[in-house]
Amino acid sequence: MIDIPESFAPGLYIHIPFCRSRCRYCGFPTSDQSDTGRISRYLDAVIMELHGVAPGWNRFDSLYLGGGTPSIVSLPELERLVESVNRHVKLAMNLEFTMEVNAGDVSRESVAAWTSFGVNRISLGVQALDDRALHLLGRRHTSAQALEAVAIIQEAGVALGIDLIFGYPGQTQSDWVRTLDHVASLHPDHLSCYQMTVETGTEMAQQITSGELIPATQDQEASLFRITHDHLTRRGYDHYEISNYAADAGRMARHNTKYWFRIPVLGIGAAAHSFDGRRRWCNAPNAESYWLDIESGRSPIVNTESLNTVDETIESIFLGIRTRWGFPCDRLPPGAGSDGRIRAMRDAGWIREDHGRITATDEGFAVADAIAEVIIAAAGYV
Amino acid sequence: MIEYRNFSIIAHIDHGKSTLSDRLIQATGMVQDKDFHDQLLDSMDIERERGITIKSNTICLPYTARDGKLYRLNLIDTPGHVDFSYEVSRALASCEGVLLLVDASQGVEAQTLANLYAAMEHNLEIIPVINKIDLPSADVIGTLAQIETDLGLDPERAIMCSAKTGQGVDDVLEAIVRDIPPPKGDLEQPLAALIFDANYDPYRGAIISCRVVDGIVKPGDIIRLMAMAASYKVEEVGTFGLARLKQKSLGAGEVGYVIAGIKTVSDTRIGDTITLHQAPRHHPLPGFQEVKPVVFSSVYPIDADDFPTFAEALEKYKLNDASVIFQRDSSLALGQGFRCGFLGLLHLEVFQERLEREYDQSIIMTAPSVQYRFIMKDGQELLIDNPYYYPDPSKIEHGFEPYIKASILIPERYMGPVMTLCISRRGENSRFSYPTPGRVEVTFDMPLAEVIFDFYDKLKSITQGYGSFDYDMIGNRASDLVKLDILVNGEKVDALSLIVYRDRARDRAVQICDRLKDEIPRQMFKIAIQGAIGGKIISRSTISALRKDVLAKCYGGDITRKRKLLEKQAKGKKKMKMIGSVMIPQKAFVAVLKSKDD
Repeated sequence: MIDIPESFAPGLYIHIPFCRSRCRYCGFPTSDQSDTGRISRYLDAVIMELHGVAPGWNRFDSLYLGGGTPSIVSLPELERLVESVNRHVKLAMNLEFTMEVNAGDVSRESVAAWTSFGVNRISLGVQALDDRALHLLGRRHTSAQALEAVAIIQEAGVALGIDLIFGYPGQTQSDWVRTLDHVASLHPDHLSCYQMTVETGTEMAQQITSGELIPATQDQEASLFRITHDHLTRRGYDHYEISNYAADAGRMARHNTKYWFRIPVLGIGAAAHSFDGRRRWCNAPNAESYWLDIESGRSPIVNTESLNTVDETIESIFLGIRTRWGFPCDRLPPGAGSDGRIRAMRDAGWIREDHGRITATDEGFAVADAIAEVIIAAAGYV
Repeated sequence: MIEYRNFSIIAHIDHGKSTLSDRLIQATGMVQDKDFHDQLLDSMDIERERGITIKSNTICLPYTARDGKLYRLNLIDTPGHVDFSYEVSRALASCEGVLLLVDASQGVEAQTLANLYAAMEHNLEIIPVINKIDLPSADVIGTLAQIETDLGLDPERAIMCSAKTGQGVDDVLEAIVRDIPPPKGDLEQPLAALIFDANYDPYRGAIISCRVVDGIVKPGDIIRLMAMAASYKVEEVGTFGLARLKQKSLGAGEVGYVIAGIKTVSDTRIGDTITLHQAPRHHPLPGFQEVKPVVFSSVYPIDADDFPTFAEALEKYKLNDASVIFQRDSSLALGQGFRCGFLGLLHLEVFQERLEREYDQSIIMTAPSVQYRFIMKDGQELLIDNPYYYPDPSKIEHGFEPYIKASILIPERYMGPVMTLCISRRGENSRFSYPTPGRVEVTFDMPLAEVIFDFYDKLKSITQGYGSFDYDMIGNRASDLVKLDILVNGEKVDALSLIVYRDRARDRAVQICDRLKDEIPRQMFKIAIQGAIGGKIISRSTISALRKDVLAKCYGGDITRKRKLLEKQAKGKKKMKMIGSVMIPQKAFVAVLKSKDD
């Protein structure tokens, strides 16, 4: 068993809510007006927020530039942002610095520049290796561009994580197996395979409502999920969270893992969420409202929630069960383990108890939310 | 000298009855604008949400007419559903006139006619009021023509108004004063007051709403409730403002309340006559009926441990609603509960919603049943309203079930589908009459059991809301009955058993298995649902095991959202009933009562 990474230092997340175009499945409040003037104004605000907030935090050992599409930020602007992070924020020597990148933005020059700013891990949104699928998803890159981007990043010696999507309308098992096998043969350090979630209000949701697209059934989704697990674990990847696979323990996504272990993360920028161990809060949801708050000296925080002990316990159960490490049995009240519903899940092969922790089995991963619901109900936390 | 007018407003649903009531209350200055809210007379949440009136409500409006005289206008608001038709008839019997409200954009509709007949039965003065004249789609001329041809009323007397904007509301008030006759009645005669409603007050007990027909009643009088044969001393009388207004007495022609130390509303009967103990009237006022429940269902707390508080809540509920009856019951699947009797399906739904909201009870109700009669081979006679007590079939000589005469009023164009529906529900002996051109009244003899299974919803949907429906009980008829059991993973769920007509058993069994398949969420293992008569399986459906249920991405902002969702769903899971190791949601027990295509 891999060591439980509960001693991580806090992480820093910076959100870049700009994209050149909107993907059809995207429900994020991104802005597709990505002219340089707006990005510049936004970064000014981010730097100002960082300056005000980050000094109160301990040394961060992960930095994550997420979006949106951080790779559309021009190199001089990005350099300005990184410089101010270095100036205002305490960073660990062994910092994991991840940047989300669109394959269409990758070139030898851009990768060289990003690494010179300190980026040592790139999360590449490949999504699919089939141009028809990429078109359906509304991605602006082609599969050839994605493969070229992988080659460039690997050549540069930067850690590479690839994001894929499965379970989109019309995808067959053989489509998925082809993509998976192809991507795995590239030996990325890390793979995130996200099942398509059709968010209400997205273009894809409308296409489904109108009958233009037919969503995958639960059984199809389950099969794709299983195939993913089988193919990647056979190639030696460690399935350490519902949607995440690492080539080995040293190559897990350190920053992402903090969310499931409830390690503090400071989120900077529009729509960014933060957690300090006891409270969760989030910033104004879009770029405009965010910079207006910052420019006029107001706090951009729109919502704060203090967690009580039960909230914390519930979180550690449903977040823990998503991972290989599960959660400690002592999160449950004495005797809850013999509750009929929890026993039934054990009998059905969904969960097991091991070294004082309750973990989901490979089958259980596919139904982790249902497991969490039953446990929370059986433990009397609601 | 103050004059009285007693009236009610009757209308097809959504023609603006509550809005007009609200406007009359405002126009007479009863309520400050700041205290105003919509549907003032409907005090229950469920009434406001569904836009219906369940409970009668009365308000006395002080009005200075154009002739300079002060009038008191008693507005008696009535429920609008067939389950409560007896209560409506008593409320109408307390009036001299009605406003018959018609939506100018919809015209005369089925319920308008049914209401008209009800008013005519009580010889009431009928004032047609055309509402919603402000709507762009209003067709005032067409509606006037319908009032003349369909309703046979004088269109010249119709009042135009918009309850929404207030336009014409003054004319409505004038018409009430001018056209509705003042109440007759003799102050010198022995007291006779008609009870048309009763409400419970935790400090005062039952508050009787009544119309004094003859005589006078005042505090200190010893009154006698004639049907109940019980006497009480009057503590207080008064009229209805937005709150109760104490008066020295209530005399012939007046509408008001009587408080007489009567503990609960169950000690009173709607339609009963109040008279004086010392100087009683010889005969009660006509029209009294003892209302009997016709639909029965068992009610259980979701968590068996909550039975004591549940029983307490039911006692409290009963204080307010005398028409529900109950006795102890128990089920292997659902634990301790009560078998309850209701006036009809809406009454049952109202009971369920009020218990959940006002009394904070989480309950499960079983499929409604009628009361069956069995003659056994040994000559014994059994009355069974609970499938649990269904006798050994080999010992039954004859079975009987209650029949109704169903009267359905529809525009002629819906004849075909309505006939088909009624025949499919074992309707027989059909008759037709044409009360007005273009409209037909269809009557059928039908088993009541067929009506309590989603008949009303079906009728409304096939007639697009134009069908109105009423019924009278016409006694028991012989019937070939069986008990249908439902099994979940081989375990019989006693709370889902039904007594059904033999030829309908298979259809019902298939329907129930299908419904349960939709309502029971996929679980850790495959679930088999079966319908059986005796040991014989007659239907089956299967729910596959749950295979995928997990959010793909769970980072920053997803966590709070997911926690809240999980808490909600875990709460739902907690409320589910365990049958063996299968979790069955409460709504599954309710869903089997409706067919799928609703």
